[in-house]
Amino acid sequence: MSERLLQVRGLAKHFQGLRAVDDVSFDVARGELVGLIGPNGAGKTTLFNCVAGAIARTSGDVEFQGRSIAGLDPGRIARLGIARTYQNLRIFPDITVFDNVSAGAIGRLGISLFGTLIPGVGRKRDEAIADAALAALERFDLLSFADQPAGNLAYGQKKHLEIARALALQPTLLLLDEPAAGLNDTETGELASRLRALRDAGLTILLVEHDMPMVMRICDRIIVLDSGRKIAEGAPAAIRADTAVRAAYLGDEP
Amino acid sequence: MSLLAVDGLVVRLGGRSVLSAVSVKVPEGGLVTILGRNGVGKTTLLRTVSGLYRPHAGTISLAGVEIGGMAPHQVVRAGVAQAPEGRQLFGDMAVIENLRAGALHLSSADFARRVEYVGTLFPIVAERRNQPAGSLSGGEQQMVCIARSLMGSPRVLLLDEPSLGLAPKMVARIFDLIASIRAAGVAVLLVEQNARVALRTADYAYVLDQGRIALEGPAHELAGDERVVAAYLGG
Amino acid sequence: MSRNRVPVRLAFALVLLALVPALLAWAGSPYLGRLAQVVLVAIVLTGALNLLVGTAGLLALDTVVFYGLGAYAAAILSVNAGTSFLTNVAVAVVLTSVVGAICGFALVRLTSIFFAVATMALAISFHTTVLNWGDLTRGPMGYRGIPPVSFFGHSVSGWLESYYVTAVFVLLALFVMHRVVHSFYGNAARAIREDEECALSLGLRTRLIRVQIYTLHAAITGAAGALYAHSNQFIGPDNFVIFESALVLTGVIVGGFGSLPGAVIGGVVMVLLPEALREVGNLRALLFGIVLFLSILFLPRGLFSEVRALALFRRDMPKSPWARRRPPP
Repeated sequence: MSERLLQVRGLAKHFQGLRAVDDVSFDVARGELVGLIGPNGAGKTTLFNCVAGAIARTSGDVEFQGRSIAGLDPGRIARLGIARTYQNLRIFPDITVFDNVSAGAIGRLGISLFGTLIPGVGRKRDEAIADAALAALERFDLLSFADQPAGNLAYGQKKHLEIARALALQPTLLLLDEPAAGLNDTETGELASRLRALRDAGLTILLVEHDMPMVMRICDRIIVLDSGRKIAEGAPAAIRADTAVRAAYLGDEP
Repeated sequence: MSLLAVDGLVVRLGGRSVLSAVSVKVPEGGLVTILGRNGVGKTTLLRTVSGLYRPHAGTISLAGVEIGGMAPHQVVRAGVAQAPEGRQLFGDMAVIENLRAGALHLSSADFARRVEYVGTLFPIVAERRNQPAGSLSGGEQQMVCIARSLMGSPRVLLLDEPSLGLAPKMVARIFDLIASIRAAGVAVLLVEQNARVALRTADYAYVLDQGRIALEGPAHELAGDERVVAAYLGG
Repeated sequence: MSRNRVPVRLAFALVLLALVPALLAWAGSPYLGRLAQVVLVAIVLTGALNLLVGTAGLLALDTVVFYGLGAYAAAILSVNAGTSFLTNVAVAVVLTSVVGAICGFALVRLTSIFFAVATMALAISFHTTVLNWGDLTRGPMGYRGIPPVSFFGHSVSGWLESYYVTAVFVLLALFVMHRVVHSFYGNAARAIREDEECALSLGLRTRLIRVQIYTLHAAITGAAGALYAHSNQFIGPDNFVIFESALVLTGVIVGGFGSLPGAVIGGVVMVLLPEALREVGNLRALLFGIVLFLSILFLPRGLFSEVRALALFRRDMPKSPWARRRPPP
């Protein structure tokens, strides 16, 4: 029986009269790869931001591993095991690839000023950080770029770096915001297989995407938003044929 | 003879190909729409026509004159104006000041005349002329945005997702207005995600997928076409 | 690229401790001796500010606040209570740490430009307070008669001994700063600098780390102030005008944001440059403006960039597991 890892209940976010997210509820079970799709302006990224704690929700609740995380600050939520990436690719361009990824590992394992000042104290923790960072880099074939400034990487590699950094957090739930944006066919294929491999290894993934072929191919289940509301939910084939989904993307029947 | 002709356009951003061999024609007085899901390059196409991006290859011509590679302000002067995605009004400025921004080169008298004319198409311009643009509703802002782009008397109007974030009733109103703009003699190139309403209003449609034209044809023919659905939801 | 352990730090320490004073003793000039000391203190101030401005990315002009707090604390205590040098330094560090923590906590929530302006306000208020609180600080006359540096009864005499004391202090301070900058802690601070919101979403305690760095910068600067008071045996409000903060900031920028070797170079340049151009005199401010301007224009990453510095000290970073497992180049 799959545990319900994430439970979103009646989540709403209003901005000055605009209902960006309007009474959305859904579950994500442990080990699932769920896609969150919908036309432009449907509220997908806003939903992500609410779950990750980046913005305050207006109403509704979000439960993670059985406890409410609504209202917690993003740092706390990250340390609880939810990692995220961004739609517009936010890596740290001026520091090395290794330093980018280790930032994620530091976030989970913690760091102390005292431990840093005294040589010897905190050595074990430092090794754990390094190991987590290296493991994440290896997973995405970025090990050979470790000492290069992250800004030097090609766009596709930067996208992978952002995911690797999120993985260094060793999260239980991974939120990916348009990971395939800007990638060509080959890169998208690589991304798809990597994501599937991560899911097979036990990671739960919720991703926002516009690349339909990829979403249909790899997701176990798809949730569709339109104008802030959930309009459909189910297996890829069912979603593709769903009239409400077609109407959302292509417009209503005349 | 096309008023606006894009031929074999290739656009590269950040080292990657965003548009490949795109060819689009907008006839004099025509209403052409570009469809496709998010991220396929529709906005990039309009931005390139407006001069915000340089074409890597291919040509863009207005009434036979090459405008590809021109600076944005030159493109506007040549007669191509854009109402961008997300409205992008100057929120703290009044409606009338936003309109002024669309026609800084006009004398006060010419400006007043132009405002009056645009006001016949968009009554909101007169009703809310001194209100800060940011205080208007989404639909009203969209109208001001389009009105602003019309201030310079363009020959071709580029519209980027005018229906974004609007309720269905408002979308219908906006599209009626777009039809009257075309009736007034301005050619329109419309980018839209909402295929159905766009196909209802347009003469001709192109469907973009992954930076290429996947499908094209007269709007009424594409309206029932399953291939359009496939382009949106994956084949 | 050779993988030899270049003993940079060892070489640096040797130069500081042995070569320079040897040269100075040979030159026999007390003036040069004092100049060398000024250079050393400048190195500490620049390094401490670099922690805040460079590594943590918080532009600030509050060096003089903590420098002055430390100096006046030492002066007032030693003259009125007869406390020893080491006690005064300890008190200075505690005082500036507490004030630093409070200010840091209050200011860190401000976005960059407002933070910078707030530190300017702090600097100006500090100077005004020192100038006007005559009963405590003796106002514009300054505090004279501060006893010299002394350890366990032995008073430092002569500029050479004074130089040694300062050099040891500087090495200690540099060691602390090195541990902070070239470590995963420094990495966390840099991540927060690059993108605070993103760093937060990675689980980093952004507010806490920034306050800690602010406090550390305050404490090191305060200690330097106490040392200065005892070395110079006289301090006055003129030593703590906001311009001095700007000088230190210039040193950070010229040397290289976020780079500890850069801060060292910046500190040296800032002191030696006007000395080399002594005729400039009152045009000192203009000179620094020009240097700053040219620096930003042509060498925005400074004379010794952070990237180079981190690469240089990479083997020191707590990742010998990393060094061991790294694939061969």
